[in-house]
Amino acid sequence: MLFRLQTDPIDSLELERAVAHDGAGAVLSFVGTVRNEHAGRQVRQLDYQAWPEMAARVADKIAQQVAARWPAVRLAMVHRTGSLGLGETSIAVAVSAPHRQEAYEASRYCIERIKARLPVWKREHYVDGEPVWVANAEFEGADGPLGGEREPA
Amino acid sequence: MQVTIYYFAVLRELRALEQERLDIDEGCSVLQLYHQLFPPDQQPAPPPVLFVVDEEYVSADTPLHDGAEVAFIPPLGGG
Repeated sequence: MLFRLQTDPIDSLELERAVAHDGAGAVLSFVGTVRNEHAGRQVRQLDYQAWPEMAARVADKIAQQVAARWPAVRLAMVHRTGSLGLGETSIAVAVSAPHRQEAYEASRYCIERIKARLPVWKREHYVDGEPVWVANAEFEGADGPLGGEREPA
Repeated sequence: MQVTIYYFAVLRELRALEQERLDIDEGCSVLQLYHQLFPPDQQPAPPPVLFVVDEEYVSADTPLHDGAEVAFIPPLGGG
């Protein structure tokens, strides 16, 4: 499993090469990019802050969970940190599998777990007004009604 | 006993620190420590958080031990 945080631009083809092998009939990339709008506000830039040591541990957990569900899947995940402009790639997830169904399922699972548990924070800068730390909809605080530990990652 | 606390994102700004060591009471839970540092009635209201002790996600009622490394995880934005 390849996992990395990096301030340099992400090359999603590097991830595809990392998961490709002769037994794979499907290689699937998810590439997340910086959008120009959030909740009706014009976005001009994102800053990502990360906790590298914990991020590596969470990525290992996600990889273990993927291996338990889809043993034949290979996985690569790279997240950008620092300042990103519109259209730049903030995250790439590549998976390979013998068949496409496992690839789609594992890819979706990975990005959902990343959004819920990878210790990375996003500060949005707008055309007008002050920047704001923005939360993923998938985030569930531990002191919330569900206790945050439905599925530990 | 002493714990080390790491701050990120909005909590780093609210506390104006990246990390600190604090003396806390025996038997204090990670949620109790969060409420001591960021009272729920303060303005602006502290965010909902996940709790990490020694680089593992833990439940809110987890008791802290001497030397624990604690982090409060404010709403995540990765992806």
